[in-house]
Amino acid sequence: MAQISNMELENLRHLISSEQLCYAKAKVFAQHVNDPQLKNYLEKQARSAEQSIQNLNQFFFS
Amino acid sequence: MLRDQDCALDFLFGVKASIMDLTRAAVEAENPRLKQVLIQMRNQAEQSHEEIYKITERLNAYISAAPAEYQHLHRVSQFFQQNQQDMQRTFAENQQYAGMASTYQGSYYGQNYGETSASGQYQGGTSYYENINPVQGQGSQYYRNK
Repeated sequence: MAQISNMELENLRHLISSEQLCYAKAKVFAQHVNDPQLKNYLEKQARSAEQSIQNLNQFFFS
Repeated sequence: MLRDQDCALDFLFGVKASIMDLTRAAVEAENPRLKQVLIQMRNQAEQSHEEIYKITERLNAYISAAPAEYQHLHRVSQFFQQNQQDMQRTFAENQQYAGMASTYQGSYYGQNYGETSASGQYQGGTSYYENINPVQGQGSQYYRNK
């Protein structure tokens, strides 16, 4: 049985959706921007969002 | 077509919203391991926000708030100093009265303490609200100037 409350589940649902949107936008924006520092930042954000999604997903079955 | 500035601004606001969401979720978390992960993510998001803030400024996509004027700072600071003094005076008066009542009045203290004490607090509270009322008193000028 999962060791998280209903409130935690709602927060997880919201946070994972946000991270997925962040991942998608960072990937698309990184392909279009010209500024190298911004491009680098967006690529880093995409990797970070991917990692966050994995970290949060583990709590569904912990 | 989105410009670099638009993309940078979108992330500046998005990361800021994330920090708020993560902070709230961390405070509400009961599971200690989840709380720890959320705090770690929040700290990373703050670093990320600092980074994208610098990028937006460099790209002229964002202008930061101007420093507060001295006159305005002084006015707000005085308002809170005055409130703090009023609050301390009210507490001191109430404590003094409670001490006297318990020493000299015996059972009378038990019957009337709540009523008298609430009355004292109410008077203090009234003066506080008058000061910040946007329509009456000095507070109104502050809100009009904002």
